[in-house]
Amino acid sequence: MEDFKIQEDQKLKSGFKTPELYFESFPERMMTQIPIKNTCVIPLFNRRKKWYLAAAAVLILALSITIVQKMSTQIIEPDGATLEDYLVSANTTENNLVDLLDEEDIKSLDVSYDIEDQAIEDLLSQNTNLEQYIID
Amino acid sequence: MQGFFLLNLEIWLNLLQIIKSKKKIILEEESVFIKQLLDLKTQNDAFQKLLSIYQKPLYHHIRNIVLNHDDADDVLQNTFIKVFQYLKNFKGESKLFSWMYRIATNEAITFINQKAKKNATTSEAVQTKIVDNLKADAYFDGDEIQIKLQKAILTLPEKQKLVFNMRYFQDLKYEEISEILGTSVGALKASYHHAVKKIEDFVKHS
Repeated sequence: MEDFKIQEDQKLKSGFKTPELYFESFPERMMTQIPIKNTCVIPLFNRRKKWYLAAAAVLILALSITIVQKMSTQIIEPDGATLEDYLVSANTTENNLVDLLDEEDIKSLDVSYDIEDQAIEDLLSQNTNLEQYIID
Repeated sequence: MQGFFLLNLEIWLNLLQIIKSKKKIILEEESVFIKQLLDLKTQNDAFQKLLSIYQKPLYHHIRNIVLNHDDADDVLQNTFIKVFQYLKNFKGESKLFSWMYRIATNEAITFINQKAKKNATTSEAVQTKIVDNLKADAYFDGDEIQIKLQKAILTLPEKQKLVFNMRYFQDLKYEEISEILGTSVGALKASYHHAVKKIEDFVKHS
């Protein structure tokens, strides 16, 4: 064969060709294979809303604690009959009751009774701790 | 005389400055484009733009390696899928174009090797078979000399084949080929020169 020379200015083509409209259709085919999101992204977790929600949760928690505390410290005043029954069942002595009284309670009990002298003498003679009361 | 040299030096320095600033603009534009490719809001349009710019050069590069159109189509798709997957890891140390060409080259060579393994043969044998049947290929419209040229290219070592195809058929600059293959410009020029000589000898004696 004649001398074959690779010439830069008269290049041969490779001879390879593509089907008709190959490059026109390739991008569309390619985009179906790439996991690209077409629409704008809506975030699942909005940070701003999270902040408000957190603040609301703290407020509700604080209020609940306050309400529960108030309910638990509410004192129900028992009636007289219930108190008497309790004192009897608990074997409460006079000394136990005296220990529980403070100055204000004693002052409130300060009632003037119209008692006869004979009644006082009878009460004192029955009390074996009379000498001890005089010493105290 | 000295004044003439100084004047020439000044012109060369100015030219160098212009080339540097143009390179900087290209890199900055590319950096913006890469950001658009990674941003979910602009990714769709940016990727379509990427496809429109690079599908043809990458296809022809791949086709020169795998030789068959259907195989080239498969490899081209795999290449763009890999580009999409690994774009977030692209550090911008080379041009986007060079990086994509590297992916395409690796995908094409891997494809040929896998085909050879499947058929219990060599990659050279796979390519020889395709070239021998080029006349019957619906997607080849070359003449006798073009078929001889393809047969001659097949006789070259792997790297020389790549250098020749990229320089001769795709008109890439040596600097661009250097960035793709990681070989010095000097070595590439030598490689191309040897490839040309071998091809000319082959065609002359075939």
